[in-house]
Formats: sequence, C-alpha cells, structure tokens
Amino acid sequence: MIEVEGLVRRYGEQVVVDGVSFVAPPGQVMGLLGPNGAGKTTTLRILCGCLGATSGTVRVAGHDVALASRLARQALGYLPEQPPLYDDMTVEDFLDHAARLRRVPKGERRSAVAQAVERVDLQSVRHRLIGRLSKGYRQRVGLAQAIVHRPRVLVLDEPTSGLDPTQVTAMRTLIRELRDEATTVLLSTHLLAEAEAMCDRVTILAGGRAVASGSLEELRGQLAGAPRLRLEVRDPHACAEALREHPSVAAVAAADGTLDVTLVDADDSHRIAVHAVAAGFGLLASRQDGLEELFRRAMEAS
Amino acid sequence: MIWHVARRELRVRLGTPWPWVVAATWLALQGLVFTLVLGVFVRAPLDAPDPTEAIPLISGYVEPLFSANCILLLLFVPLLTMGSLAGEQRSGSIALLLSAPISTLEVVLGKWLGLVAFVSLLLALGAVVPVGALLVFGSPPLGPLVSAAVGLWLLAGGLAALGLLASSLSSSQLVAAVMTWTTAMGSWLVAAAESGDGLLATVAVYGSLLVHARGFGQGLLDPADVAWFVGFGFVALVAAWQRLESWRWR
Repeated sequence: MIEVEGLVRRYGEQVVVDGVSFVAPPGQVMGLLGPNGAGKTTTLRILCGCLGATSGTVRVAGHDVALASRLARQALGYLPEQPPLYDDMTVEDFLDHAARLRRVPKGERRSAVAQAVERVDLQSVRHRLIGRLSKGYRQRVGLAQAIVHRPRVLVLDEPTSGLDPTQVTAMRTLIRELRDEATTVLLSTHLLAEAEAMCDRVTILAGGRAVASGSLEELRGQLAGAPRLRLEVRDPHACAEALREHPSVAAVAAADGTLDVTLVDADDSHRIAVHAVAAGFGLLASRQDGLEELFRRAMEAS
Repeated sequence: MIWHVARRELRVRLGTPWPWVVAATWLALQGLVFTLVLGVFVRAPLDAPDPTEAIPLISGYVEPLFSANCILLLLFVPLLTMGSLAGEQRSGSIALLLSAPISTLEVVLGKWLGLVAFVSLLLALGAVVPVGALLVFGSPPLGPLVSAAVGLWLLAGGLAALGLLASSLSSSQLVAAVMTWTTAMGSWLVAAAESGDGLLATVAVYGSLLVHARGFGQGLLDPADVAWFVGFGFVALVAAWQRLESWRWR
C-alpha cells in the first residue's frame, strides 16, 4: 500500500511536484503515466527515501517515509531508471550485498539470493561481473536487487526502457506475478501502451500535477467528457448537414476529410455509423477516442 | 549495518585492480625510502667523528621512515578515497544505499571503516621489512615503534575522513582527489615552513595534519595530538554525513 497526500517538491523556485495525491492498493499495479518532466521520477525518489519532500505526506506500507523512514524503506524495493549496480561485483555477490543492506537475516540470505536469481532468470550470469553484462541483464539485476528481500511494495522507474520485446514480455510477466503475490507495484512510464498492458490503475501526471487517476475504464469516463466519434467520409460537409438533425448527435464539426461528431450517449456510436452508411456518405472509417486521445487531451488541459 | 557497508568498501578495494596499483606503487616507494634510510643509518657510524658513539635509533631510523610514510599517506590516501562517494553519486548506485533501511551516518562510517581497514593493511605490509629488520638484527625499544605506528594510523584515519568529505562534496572523483591533495599538501608545506607570526600562521600550524603527526615519529605519544586527530576525523565525518544527508534536498 502506498498513500501519497498533497506531495510537493520544489527545486529552488521550480515546482516539480505540485500537490500530487494518489493511493496504490496492495495486489495491484499502479502506473504513473506522464510525459518526460511531469514529475514521475521525482515522486518515486521521494517515495524511496532518496529525496526529501517539500511538503505533503507519503506512507509506504503504513509507515511515513519522513517520520518512520527506516521502516518504510525496509518494506520497499526500488529500481531507479538507472539500475544502482556495482560494476566491479559479480551478480551473486552484489545481490548478497543488497540482501545485507535490506536486513535479510543471515540464515535466509543465501536462499533469498538464489530465489531472486531464479525469478529474474540470471542463472547463466550469476558469477559474472556486472560491468560486463548487457543492458537487458543489468536491468534484470536491478530488478533482482529490488525484490531480494521480498518487499511488500515495489517501486519501478521505467522498468522496461531499453529492453528488447522478449525482455519486455518477461518483465511484464514477472511484474504480474509479483502483483498476484499481493505486492503493491508502482511503476512509471511515459508510454501509454505500456500502462495499458501492465497497470490496473493509472495516475496521469502532467506538469507536476495529478490530472487524472483511476482504473483505465474509469479514466476513459473521467477524461472523455462527452463521447466523441471521428468519421472519415468522402464528403464531410454534406454529411455534417445530414447528421446535425440526428437525435443522437449533440454537435458536429467537419474538417478536411474527417468529421468529429459529439454524441449524446456513447452507446449510440453504432447508430451513427449505420446511418452514415445507409445515407450513402461513403463511410471509410470510424473510431471512438482511444486512451491515446484521452491522454493527449489530459495533457492539453493541464 | 555499518559492517556491511565497510565490508563492501574493503572488498571492492581488494577485488579491483586500481587500489592494488596504488598499493604496489606505495610499497615500491616505501621500499626505496627504506633502502635510502637504511643506507644512511648503516653508514653513519663510519662518518661520525667518534665511531664508538651509538647512533640514535629514533632520529636516525624511525623518524626518517615515519616522515616518508606520512608523505606517502598524503599522496596515496586521496587516490583511494576519491571514488567512495563521488563514484556512487555519478553511477547512480548511491540510490541503493539511500533507499535501503540504513542511515546516511551508517553509510559514512561504514565507508570510512572500510577505507581505514585497507590503508591499515597497506601500512602493515609496508612495516614488515623495516620493523622486521629491527627485530631480527637488534632489540629495539618498542615505545617509539608503537608511537610511530599509532601516529601513522591516526594520520591515515584523518586523511580517510578528509577524503570521504571531499568525495561527498563533488560528483567528480578528480575534483575530490584534488581537494584532498590541496589540504594534505597544504598541511605538509605548513609543517615544512612552520615559521612566521600572527594569527594566520598560528591557525595554519594548528590546522596542519602533519604538524600534529610529527611528534609520534619522535617517540612522543602526546595525548593532545591524539585528541586533535580524533577531533579532526570526527568533524570531517560529521560534515560528510551532513553533506550526504543534504543530497536529499538538492
């Protein structure tokens, strides 16, 4: 469980995080989605104790990161954008070191390391120096470091950046597995597709503010406003005239080759399409707003 | 927790080539100095006006070796400390320490202990021949040897604390090394000159690491000097700790 309330972080005059609040419940993957510079990394760093907050409270697994910082950090695993690795150590030595720092009891250390190695599939490189590993392996060692003490909360900053498609799939599978073990997972991404593929809930950050938050379904509702439909037709202007009178249509705007129709009810979209076809407008394509469109609109609104 | 940080700090020095290059150079120079000092010491009776008069062990043997080792420490400790925090800051691995359930004070103390352990190892290796020769070919008084060892060790600890502070002040290892060298060399020059009146000169002399170390080489284990080094190390480590803590606020 992660609870963030009214989080503010300033760098001098510049406000990087401006009153962000969200809750990431256990057993779910929460995504912080936003363009570069939206304050995602800063938020995550504050959560993990790497950075102080100017104001606001953050609780990790019920512990305030400012007041009970050690307990909060004990409950947490963190993979920053640049994995925190020692190039001069072997994978296994490094994970052993990470387990020590995370206070894994002496007797359990060996099995904890072995388990982490197995989970992220590092068996083949466990005795190699980290400095000699490829980007994909480094990212995996970074993840192993974050889960070696079986944290209840896992914070991942752009976990799939720089990975090839196979590795991305493996990373997603692992994140889902961890979620199913009741781990709270919070990850950041600037890719919408990534959020759609991995997250149960999403908080959209823009300019340091949380502009929308909820499950992907809820977000569609929150952001969409009036449901809209975009039609591609041969003669948009004629079509606009004809549709204006339709009972399901609230407004129409014709542009070059396309027609933006604002609907009274989202469920009416198929009726418009049927109407357009029947009236012989030469309907070429129709689509409802995707998340991409919603995301873009949320960015513009902020 | 301190031990885990210290362990990693020592291991990285034992397990990577760079500190061993420093160590090898150190020991080579140390051997050279030993040969020179020994040559002078052995030849001294022949050149003395009265050959039957004993050559004092301390001023003829212990003190020159001690001084040479002080200079070696001033030169080499900054090379070992420069990366300890600056490198972590630059590579981003500092996030591992900052997000772990361990305080920044423990990080600083652990790193310092690891550094001191490695430098102590170097000092011990460097002492094998000079001290061994004394013990094999004579029966020296142990007092001056102990005093010299304590002095070198205190100087090493003080320099390690200073180097750690410098390493926390810059994310560039080179800048960190230069900062430590400047302070260390400054203390050497002050100790060499040690003249002049006025407040500035007094402060410079009092602040010089080497001035306070010198007595130990002459067999004087002065509690005031011991206290000075403890105080110096304490201040430098607290400053490094506060600096590391302030990284959270930048």
